[in-house]
Amino acid sequence: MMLALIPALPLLGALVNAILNKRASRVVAGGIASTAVVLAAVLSFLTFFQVQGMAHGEHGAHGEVPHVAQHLWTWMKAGPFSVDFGLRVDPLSAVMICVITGIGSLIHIYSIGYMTDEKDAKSVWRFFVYLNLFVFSMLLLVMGDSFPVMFVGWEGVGLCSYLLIGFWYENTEYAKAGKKAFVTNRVGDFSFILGLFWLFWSLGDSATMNFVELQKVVEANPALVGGAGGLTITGICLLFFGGATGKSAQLPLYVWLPDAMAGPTPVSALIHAATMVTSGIYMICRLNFLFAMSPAAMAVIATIGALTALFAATIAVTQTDIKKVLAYSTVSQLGFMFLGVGVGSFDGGFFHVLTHAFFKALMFLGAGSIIHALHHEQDMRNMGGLRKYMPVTFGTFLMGYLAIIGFPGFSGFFSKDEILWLTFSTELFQGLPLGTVMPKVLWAMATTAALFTAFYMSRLMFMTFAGSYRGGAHGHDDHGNGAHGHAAHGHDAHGHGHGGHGHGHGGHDPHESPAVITFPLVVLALLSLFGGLLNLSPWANGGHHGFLSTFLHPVFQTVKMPFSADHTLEFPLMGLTLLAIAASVGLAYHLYVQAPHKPAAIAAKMKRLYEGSLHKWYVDEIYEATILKPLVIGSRQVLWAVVDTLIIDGAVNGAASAATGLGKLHARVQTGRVQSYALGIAAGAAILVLAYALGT
Amino acid sequence: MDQVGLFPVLAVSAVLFATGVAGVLTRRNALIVFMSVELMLNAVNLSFVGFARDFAARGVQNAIDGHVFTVFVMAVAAAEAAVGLALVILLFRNRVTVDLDELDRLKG
Repeated sequence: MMLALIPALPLLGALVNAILNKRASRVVAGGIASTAVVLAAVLSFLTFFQVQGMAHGEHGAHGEVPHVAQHLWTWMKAGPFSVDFGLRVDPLSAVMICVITGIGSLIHIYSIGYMTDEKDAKSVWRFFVYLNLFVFSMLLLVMGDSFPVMFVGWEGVGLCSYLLIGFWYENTEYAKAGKKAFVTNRVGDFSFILGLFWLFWSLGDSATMNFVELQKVVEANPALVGGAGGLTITGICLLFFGGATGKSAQLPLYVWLPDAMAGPTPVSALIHAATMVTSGIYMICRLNFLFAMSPAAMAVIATIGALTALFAATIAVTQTDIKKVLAYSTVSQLGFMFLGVGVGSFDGGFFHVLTHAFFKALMFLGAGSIIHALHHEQDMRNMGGLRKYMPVTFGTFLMGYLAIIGFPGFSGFFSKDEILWLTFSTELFQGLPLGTVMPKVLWAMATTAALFTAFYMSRLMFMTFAGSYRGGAHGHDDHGNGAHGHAAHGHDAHGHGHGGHGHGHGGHDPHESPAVITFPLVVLALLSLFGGLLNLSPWANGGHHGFLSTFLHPVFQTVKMPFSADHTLEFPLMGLTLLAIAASVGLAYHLYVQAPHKPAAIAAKMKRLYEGSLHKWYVDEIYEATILKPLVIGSRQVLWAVVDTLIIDGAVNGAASAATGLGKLHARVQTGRVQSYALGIAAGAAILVLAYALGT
Repeated sequence: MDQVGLFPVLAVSAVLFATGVAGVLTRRNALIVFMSVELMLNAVNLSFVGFARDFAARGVQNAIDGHVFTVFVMAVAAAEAAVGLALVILLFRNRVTVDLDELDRLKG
């Protein structure tokens, strides 16, 4: 089968739309884009089943990783070193391409409905070109069989993310948000490249960019990378992880993701929740054989993951913009994934990628449905009571909600529970200082983050769907907070579709979105509900590993991660977590339904904490003061005023004026009088004759 | 007047040539400079003829070359004179002078 068709189809879709340009109406452009991705999805699922069939067939017996590969062309060649442009789908990539194209298809279809009220109908084609281009890049990222191919995708998704965040570029804030995302990502990419260079350099003569060969080389001779647990491998892994923190929005590079909500909501769902942000996890899973060699790097990953999970969750509890809450929730859930990967459970972390893709895409699309129905209102304080008006959106959102808080039986329950338990029971860090307490601390942090998650998601649910509609009275009332003036906050910032309706939403009630929007919601809701079946925990699956873990096993089989065999605490801890989550939901119910005046009072009482959380713990301001300001000042005062003006300009201008001076000097020779030239000729001839005469 | 040696011919030629060079370099009048150029050309002709005779006397093959060259130079000089004089006349029509010192528009 033609593996290359899978990424080629979205690329083709993008090209066709780019050529049709403004001639394509919203439906035509959307239709082309969606068809391309749906076809790619069909091929992806076929590939998935092909790989899955191999797992049971002869490949599995030999202990070889089942895969489909296609070599396209030799990309670069230098002596013995060569890089092929090749695609390779093993179980890990197979799951990823299904998620990307599957959820991608749903979101493309949804976008056709969502972009109806785009003010500038002539620019909708641009949106779909970017979306298709993104799917193409993302597919390249996960299908590439070597670092360079992966890196093309890695940069491609960053570019598309930038383009889509700044889709409404007339709004300066949005354009800035796009720029911020791009620059922050570049910081991570830089780290990624450094890691790559270091790896390449340490491998010496046996250097290769191909993942499979790399694994063989490293496993055959671990001393090349300094041996397991060595400084070299730890450094390389940490640099790679640095790249992952950029793309997957972890501390300290997470700051771009909340601002990325400036893009159209389907973009938030596809790129900033379901796919692109998981590429860091994918990369670590892909390089599991490297990361497994460095428990110290794994400890850093787990710690950063747990910290991010908790940190972002504390911010989410006070945000009032529905997309901001979901954005911080995404950062937090990504932290869970890194925690899972960091404690050595690559399949556990990856399972959460999958379930999170389902329920977070669902919730973003649900939020988009609400925003669409309320004419670009994003402030939850102006919502409420939407359960009555938008039953389908409510019902599907509820599924996502139950999944993310970890309601038993829902997809998020299985994945989150597995991560929590494996965090608690890992023995990976035994050799490190504080290695025995670390899992417990990480577990406590993650559980706390889960409580916060339950709280802020309940808050979101109650503020949005419960009570009565507050949107009629326009203008923000007063919970005593002013989250205004932040980047990408304003629903008024892009005045799309307001024209005929005027600003007074009070005139008519919100209404349910059309089927083109609700259909993807229903599909995703079903996935959120039943997604857990894809990887049931051993206790729920008769002692066997779940489907996903078994399927992915060949990819991770060479690394053995130590986990405690003692399962006595598993159920008590699970029960404890569930109880705490229930209490958390109850608290939210009390605060936002029973006694809606209380939150303001509590906020006033804990002003410091409240303000801190509301202003995102001033991280942006701290970065501004510690990194951006010195950078700007240094650039202006030193690099510009001294280096640029004096040294560089000086050198250039100096060379020019030296040339002018010499030219002026020589210009005197050019008198314009023929006879002086003739004198020159005569003198020259005389010298020649003299030289000839003296020479002989 | 049987035979004049090579040396006297070359000496006259050198004097003529030097006179021509001096004229070209020092005189201001374009016509005189022009005439000096003719002088230089004919100095060269003279040495050509002198060498040709000398070669013929010593039995060198193709000694006639010098005479051929001389005729050739005279033809070219005639053409050059036509063009040169035309230039001087045009110059005078335009600038009402043939003083070369005043013709320095191409000064850098």
